[in-house]
Amino acid sequence: MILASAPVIPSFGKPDPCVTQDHAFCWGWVKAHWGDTLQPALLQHLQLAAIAVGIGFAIAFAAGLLAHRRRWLAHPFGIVSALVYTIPSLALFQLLVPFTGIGTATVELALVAYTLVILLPNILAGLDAAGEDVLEAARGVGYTRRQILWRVELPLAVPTIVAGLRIAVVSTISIATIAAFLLPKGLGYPIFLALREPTPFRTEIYSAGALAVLLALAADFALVMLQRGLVPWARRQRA
Amino acid sequence: MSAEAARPAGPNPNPKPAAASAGSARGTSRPAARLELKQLLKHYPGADSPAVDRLTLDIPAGEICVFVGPSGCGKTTAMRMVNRMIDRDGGEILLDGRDVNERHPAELRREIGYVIQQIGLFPHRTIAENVGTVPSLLGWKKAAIAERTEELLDLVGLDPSFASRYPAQLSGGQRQRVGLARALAADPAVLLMDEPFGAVDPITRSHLQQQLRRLHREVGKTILFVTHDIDEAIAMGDRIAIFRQGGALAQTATPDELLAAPADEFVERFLGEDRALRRLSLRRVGDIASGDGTAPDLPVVPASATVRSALSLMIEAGVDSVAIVRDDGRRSLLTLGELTALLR
Repeated sequence: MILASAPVIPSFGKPDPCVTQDHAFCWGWVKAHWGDTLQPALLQHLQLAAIAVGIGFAIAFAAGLLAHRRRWLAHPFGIVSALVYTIPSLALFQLLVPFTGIGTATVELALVAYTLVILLPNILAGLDAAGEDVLEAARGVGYTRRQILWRVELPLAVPTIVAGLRIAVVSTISIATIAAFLLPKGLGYPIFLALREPTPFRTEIYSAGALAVLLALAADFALVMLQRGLVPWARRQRA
Repeated sequence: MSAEAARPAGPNPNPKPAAASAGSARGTSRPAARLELKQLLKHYPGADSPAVDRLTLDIPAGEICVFVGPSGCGKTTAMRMVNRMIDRDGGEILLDGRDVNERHPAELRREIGYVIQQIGLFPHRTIAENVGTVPSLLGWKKAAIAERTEELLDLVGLDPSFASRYPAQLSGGQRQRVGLARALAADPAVLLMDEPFGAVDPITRSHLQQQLRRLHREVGKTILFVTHDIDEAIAMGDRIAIFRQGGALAQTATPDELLAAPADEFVERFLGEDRALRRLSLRRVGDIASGDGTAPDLPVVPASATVRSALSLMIEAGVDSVAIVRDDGRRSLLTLGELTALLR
């Protein structure tokens, strides 16, 4: 039986004075709703971003190798990428809806497009990082073209490619919050819901936003560690 | 082995016997190969004249042949056609009688050592990995590669502790030694060297030159050496091929023959001045002095000195003979007459 005073934020269970009085941040709410709201949103968010970066990297890598071999492709690839990046993310989601409907596919498609824009130029620049002298020597010692690519150009491209990956991962994690406009998934969704309340519930906005930032930082840190493992030669310069 | 600075009499007359085993340890090596260029032609599209114009040259196994000439004379182009870094437009290149165009380029290059001025070490690989590049391409076992790498670092005078470093941690001279070790790793029959010491300081350069001569006596490879520096050519070559503009040979001769009898005005100008003195610096006094040098009051010169420095001493002391002292203390006499007779 509901009595006179209905909670200000109706969907969040028992009235908690912190919540009902709309304090700036309610730690109690975060603890209470970690399991049913925040953690699932975090995992969904991670999944959205990981799939987008994974697919984007696979496509960018293949396209990068192709454009590295066939130089004339690099320019059109670059133009298309730049055009895609100028479209605001919210608009891009809406533009795709008529073709792919409202769903995960639409969101992933848009996110993949953004990662491509970042990854492709970095992969191309990375593959060009090997100096003329190194390439001349590589041919001279008897590497075939394929061996030069896999044993010389790609290892030397790693720092540039990882730098691109870091930007792609951080921006994808950020852009993925906007997916909530289409999809009840990810850390954007709690924010989206909180904003729809007559009085936006700040704790929910802050906690979901903070999780998105932490996720981005953690992913970036993981990539820095990966780079250290892959590129031991870049750290050791002449003493 | 004799003193570092001494020039050997000629190409290594006795290349060591072949050893096919991949795990080549010191002392077993592929015999040096004979390299024949016949009517070699390269004409770049759009160019008025050929870069290399019907070049014919026979380089015996074990010889150091130096290509020298002004920039743009086609010397590097000619060399790069040997390991097919550039495709030729005509003529033949025979390596031990077999045309290099019959070979797959990558396979051919694994049998020809290649050293370039910019070195081109792989920055992402340790020194040991750089040196082991060709053996690992040829599928040698890890232990054999490690053994060979250690041996080569020693051969080029680098401490074993360099093995685990990266190229960026080395000086220019050290890197060039690694470049040379990499080129020698799979025991190539021929070594191509394109201005290998052009980017290092003069002291390091002369040190590397001496070391290469010493190394050549040890491993006895056929070496094709390109430089624009005539002094380097004279210091390094058993034979020198002087190119003129347009990729044609102006003269091919031993350093002594070249300085004694330049073929034409171009060669004369290219050689520069003081030819007689430079010829004298090619010879060691110990090789020519014969008379009795026991007379007192004569200026004394060690046997390893050049004839040029003996002459300098004579002029300085105002005498016409010097005593030559060998390592074992024996003395002999060198006179001004003997010395000028050398130049005839």
